[in-house]
Amino acid sequence: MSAELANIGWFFGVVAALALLFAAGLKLPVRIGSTSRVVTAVLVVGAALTVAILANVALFRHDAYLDLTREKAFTPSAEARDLVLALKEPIDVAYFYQKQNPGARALTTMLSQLERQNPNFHVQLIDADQSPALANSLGVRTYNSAVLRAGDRRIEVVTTDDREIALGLLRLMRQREMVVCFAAGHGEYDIDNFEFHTHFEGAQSHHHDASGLAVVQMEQHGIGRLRRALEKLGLVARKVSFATGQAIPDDCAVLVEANPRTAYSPKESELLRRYLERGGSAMVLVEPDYVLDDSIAAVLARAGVKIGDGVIVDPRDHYFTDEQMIAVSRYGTHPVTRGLSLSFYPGARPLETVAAADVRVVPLATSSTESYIISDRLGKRVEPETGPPAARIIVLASEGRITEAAKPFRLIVAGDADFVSNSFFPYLGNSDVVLAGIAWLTREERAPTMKPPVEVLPTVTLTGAQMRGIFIVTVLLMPGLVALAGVAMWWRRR
Amino acid sequence: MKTLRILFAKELNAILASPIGYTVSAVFLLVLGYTFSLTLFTTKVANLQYILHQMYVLSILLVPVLTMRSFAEERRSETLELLLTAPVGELSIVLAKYAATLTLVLGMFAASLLYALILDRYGEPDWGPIYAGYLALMLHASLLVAVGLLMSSLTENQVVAAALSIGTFLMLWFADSVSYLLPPPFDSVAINLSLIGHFKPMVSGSVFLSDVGYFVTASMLALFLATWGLAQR
Repeated sequence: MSAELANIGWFFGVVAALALLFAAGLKLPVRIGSTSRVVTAVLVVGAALTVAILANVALFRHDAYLDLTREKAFTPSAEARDLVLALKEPIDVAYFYQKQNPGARALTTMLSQLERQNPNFHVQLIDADQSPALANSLGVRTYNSAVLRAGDRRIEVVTTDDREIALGLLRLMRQREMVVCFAAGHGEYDIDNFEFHTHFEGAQSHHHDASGLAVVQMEQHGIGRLRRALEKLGLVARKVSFATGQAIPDDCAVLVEANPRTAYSPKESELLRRYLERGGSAMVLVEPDYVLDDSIAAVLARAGVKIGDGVIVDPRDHYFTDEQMIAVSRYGTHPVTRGLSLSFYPGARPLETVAAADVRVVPLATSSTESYIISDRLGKRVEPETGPPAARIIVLASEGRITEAAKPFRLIVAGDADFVSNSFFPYLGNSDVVLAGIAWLTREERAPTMKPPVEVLPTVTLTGAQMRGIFIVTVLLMPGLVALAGVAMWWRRR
Repeated sequence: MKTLRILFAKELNAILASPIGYTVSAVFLLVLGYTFSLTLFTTKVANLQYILHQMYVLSILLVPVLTMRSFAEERRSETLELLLTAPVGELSIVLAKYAATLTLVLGMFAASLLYALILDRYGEPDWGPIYAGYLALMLHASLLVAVGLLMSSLTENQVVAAALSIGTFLMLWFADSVSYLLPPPFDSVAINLSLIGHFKPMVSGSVFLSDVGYFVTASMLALFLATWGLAQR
């Protein structure tokens, strides 16, 4: 802030100095010394131009900046700021930008602001057109490339977005490869599938599970979009199958079980229990119709979680007209839920917390207090089946120790899986929920999510009469009044 | 200061008594109002960025019409010599003409504030970029009027003065497009000479003080040269 004030001081100083110089210039004689009038004129004009150019160079080098947009579109994101603030080792950023690109110019401003946050963050802003040799020496071949260096590690990011720089920093600081393992072997969502479809909402509501197949036959959604987002965060996505009896690999920073369709065997449940005992992190996403094996239910119960049956119906908080598509805007207090916006869960089963020693369970997302549960999703009967309406847990986080001797585990369970599928992942806050969840599970709470800041254009709704009124005032009345004033003036002076 | 005030009142009266100011203002508001209403009805977006850019372009074309008379007419009718021999400084004469013309241009711009009020009435516009946009327009107008006066002070032909002004503005508008042809540091100079390069960020709500400085220093340079040129007579 003090640097900003100093630069504002520079601005007024430079303008005042220029005014004084010009005032002094007006006192110059018609001929300076023995020179002719023409030579004097050339000298004075040349000197004035030089002084004005130098003033602009000084202002450019001591620039101050104000972001007046409501969304602070030209101010570094909170994620980028937090990440830079947390830097413990020196990072050098050389940004080769193109001056004609306003986005790149905005990013130079943001990088300069970030540099002031932490002395470990050094920024070098380089005009790519003026320093091609320097760009070549660093292997930069594209405009608006940032070369991030820490020791002998190096990453190049081509961007005009500060979040991409933040993600680059995250990848640079990560000392080892971080692997997110996706469980396979039970018909789970495929991470190589990028298919998605739009949805129709009919009289029998909205279905994405096996019962839905009775209505419309379609391929299951994939979760390729989630995988891409993780890879953009610098994480490695890999499928693992432990149905063969092999242990869940130790290099799995997180195990994601997304929408299993067939039951676990007791041996597989035991492998999952051992993984959590070793201090593993897991995310379990199950759909309403999935029947849990007793063995896996027991493992989850040891982690403080019980997965209920049926489907939540929320007459108050739902997305569009589908009461089974639960919309959540208020979240439990947890590192995962910081700054989350509205998310929605198409067809969710209720979760419950159960008492477990050395385990802390926090509900992350719940339905409204008017929600109830039904079991017959396709039937006509929609009245509550489980007592009076009440808030139901949809997503929860659990952490602690499976046994006294075990290492601390982290677990996120959701009673819905398709909110992360390709069809729903990019919308509203869904991607934020799952990416923030994975960041917590990998113990990288500061990791920024990849959702870009969305500029919401303020819109107006006008009736026909209002449009006519605006047209008459702006096109006819205003120019007409001015023209009339002109005619009146001419008439008076005629 | 009193001399300046008297000269300013005289210049402003002259502008208000002339049909040029009313004609230019009416045309300006007609084109602007038409664009504003059609853009609003089509896009339904409550921001003024498009209109502010339109005002930028229109002012480049119309300000020379307002400034072309200021010195050129006085030179043609030989009243400039009379004015220069009066007990008033050249700086006061230039500043008075500058302030009077700028008042008219800013008055035209102020009329467009009605559009912002309409947006506020029917929507929730982001006021930050609107404030910054009007600041950019004021600075832009200041530069155009100063350069227009300088050009008018160089000739006694009004059409030549207007043509010189428009030519200069157009060159400044597109100055950055030739930067890739120039060696350093001239490429940077070309980029930083660009009118639109300094105008555009401000209209989007991103205010760099160096952009403000460009308009202020360039206006001061033009006013200095106009004053110094008159003093040499």
